Amino acid sequence: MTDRMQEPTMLVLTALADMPRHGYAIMQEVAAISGGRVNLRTGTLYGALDRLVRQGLITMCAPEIVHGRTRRAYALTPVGRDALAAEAQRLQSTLNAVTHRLAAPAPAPAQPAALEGLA
Amino acid sequence: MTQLIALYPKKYRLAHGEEISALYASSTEHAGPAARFREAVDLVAHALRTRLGVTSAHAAGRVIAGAFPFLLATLAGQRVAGLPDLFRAGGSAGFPGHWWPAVGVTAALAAAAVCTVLGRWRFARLYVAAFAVLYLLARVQTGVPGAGVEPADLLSAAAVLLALGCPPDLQPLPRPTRFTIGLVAAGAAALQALTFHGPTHTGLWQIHPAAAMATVLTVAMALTALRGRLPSTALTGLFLAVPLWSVSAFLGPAGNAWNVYAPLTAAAAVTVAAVVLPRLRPRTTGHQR
Repeated sequence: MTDRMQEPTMLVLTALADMPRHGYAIMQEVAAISGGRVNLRTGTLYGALDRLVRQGLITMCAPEIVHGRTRRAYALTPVGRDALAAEAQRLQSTLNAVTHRLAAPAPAPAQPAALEGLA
Repeated sequence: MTQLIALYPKKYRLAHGEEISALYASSTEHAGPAARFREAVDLVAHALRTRLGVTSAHAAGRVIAGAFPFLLATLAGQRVAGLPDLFRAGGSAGFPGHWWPAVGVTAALAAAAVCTVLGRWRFARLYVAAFAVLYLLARVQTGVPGAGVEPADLLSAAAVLLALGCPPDLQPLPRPTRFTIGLVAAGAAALQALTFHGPTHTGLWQIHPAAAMATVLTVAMALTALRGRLPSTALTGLFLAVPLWSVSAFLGPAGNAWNVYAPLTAAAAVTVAAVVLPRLRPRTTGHQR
């Protein structure tokens, strides 16, 4: 069986790859990384974060108080980093295949027999 | 906002309530009423899923996300195959307009299935909502008072409930799963058309529609288990969509028992074969798929 990483999961993990982030920052990063294509809503984001914590791909950092409100950042775990690296590797090999084939000279389109006779 | 957060279970609220409130406030700060409404609906849905234990962090939530598209695909395939008969019946009754809600039900289901296959989850959910409304309309219009629950009622209610329960962060489904959903829908339509209009001598017409759909799902499950390429959640989903159809078979009018049991027995045999055969396959060391 192949359980490939789904796009929202990959985007959340990518958002946490360089540094721990709190919910709103993750939301903004996901929107930025996907070029505005994926906009996670609050409930959807927390659903994904809960799942990723349970799967051991991310972890919750100690809560901090900002403007009198408790805020908690999330960080990528080593397991999460490995999973993201494996997914990136998979995407990279697909991309390499696409690039390689596009770079090859395209064969000239075959002309219909009738047109060849006219030429 | 406080009322929305109150929908979460107490333990979850104590752990995350404040940060969810802050996030909701930040993300709706410059938003219009429509965007605020969508955010609120998303939050309420997550709160209810958390309360019911069907978020993507729970096995039940992942199972729902797996089962829903296959139930949708078979329902849509079956109804699309019955569309010409619906038009014919409407035409011969002399008042075709009377049948439009039923046609709308099929169109909404088909659109939801197409959107699921294309990975357009938000549209798929909207079409399921449209399906629910149109189904109720059609049922009110054509229902016989005191007729009780019909198999289609159970399956339609299950489809709507599963759509509501699907955790949105598990969407869009992986491409191989969506491809299989498309194949299941096509298979369901083909088998339904065969049972309705196939040659009489084949006896296919006697097969109970629910048993036919359970067979399509089981064959899909067997094929994908043998190929070993589908995510395990999708296989579980296929596996769980079968009993939904099987249960519905026993809600309809009583008929020959064999036309329900025979296909279901065959389906069960195929499932067992699908589970056992891959284990019997010789494995070569270093072999990669």
